[in-house]
Amino acid sequence: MVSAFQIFFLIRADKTARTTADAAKLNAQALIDAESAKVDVVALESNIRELFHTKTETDRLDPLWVQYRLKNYGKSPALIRNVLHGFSLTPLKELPPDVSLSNLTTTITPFQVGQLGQSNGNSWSWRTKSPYTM
Amino acid sequence: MEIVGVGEQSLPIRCEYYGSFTFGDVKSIITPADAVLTFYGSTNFLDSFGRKHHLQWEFIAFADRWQLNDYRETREPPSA
Repeated sequence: MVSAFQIFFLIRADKTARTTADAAKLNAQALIDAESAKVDVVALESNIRELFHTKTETDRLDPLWVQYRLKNYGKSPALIRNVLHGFSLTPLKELPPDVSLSNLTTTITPFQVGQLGQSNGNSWSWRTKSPYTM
Repeated sequence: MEIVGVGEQSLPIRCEYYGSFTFGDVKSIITPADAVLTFYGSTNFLDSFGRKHHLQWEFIAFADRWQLNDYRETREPPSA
């Protein structure tokens, strides 16, 4: 009888210890997350406006370019190891059948500095007329 | 490699379209659109705790400006 009580208390103590350890681990993780570096794309500039306002075929077209910076919004430094980027120009007929431009315009979240955007939920796999360039 | 301090920005990073971007390409994006132009990229960075972060983004050209379409970050625990 006494042994049964001891086993019961032993199991309960073990469960409590495990719960406490899990909570401590979560707290530590939350602290690390809070103090971690957080990097966003900012200061996006491009000549796309000039390109879109091209009127005729004889207008001179500069190469399309985008320039941006990576900003660290976190509470500790970030060591940027590499950056890859590129453009993709894809005919709509090559997009997956469930993706349409009208869907995109209603689901896209405009870019705001320091704010994470949301995926529109579509899984796209098309790539690319040009390779990654740096 | 570049260290970006707290509240600081990296040096400017420039991406140019590889190959010629033609008048026809521009027209194909403008109404009635029959093509989609995207700018996409990714970066890997380490935080002070040794964790590796992977950031991906994708912008789509709409009405002569870029709109964010996809943005996601994943991270891995420090390697032993």
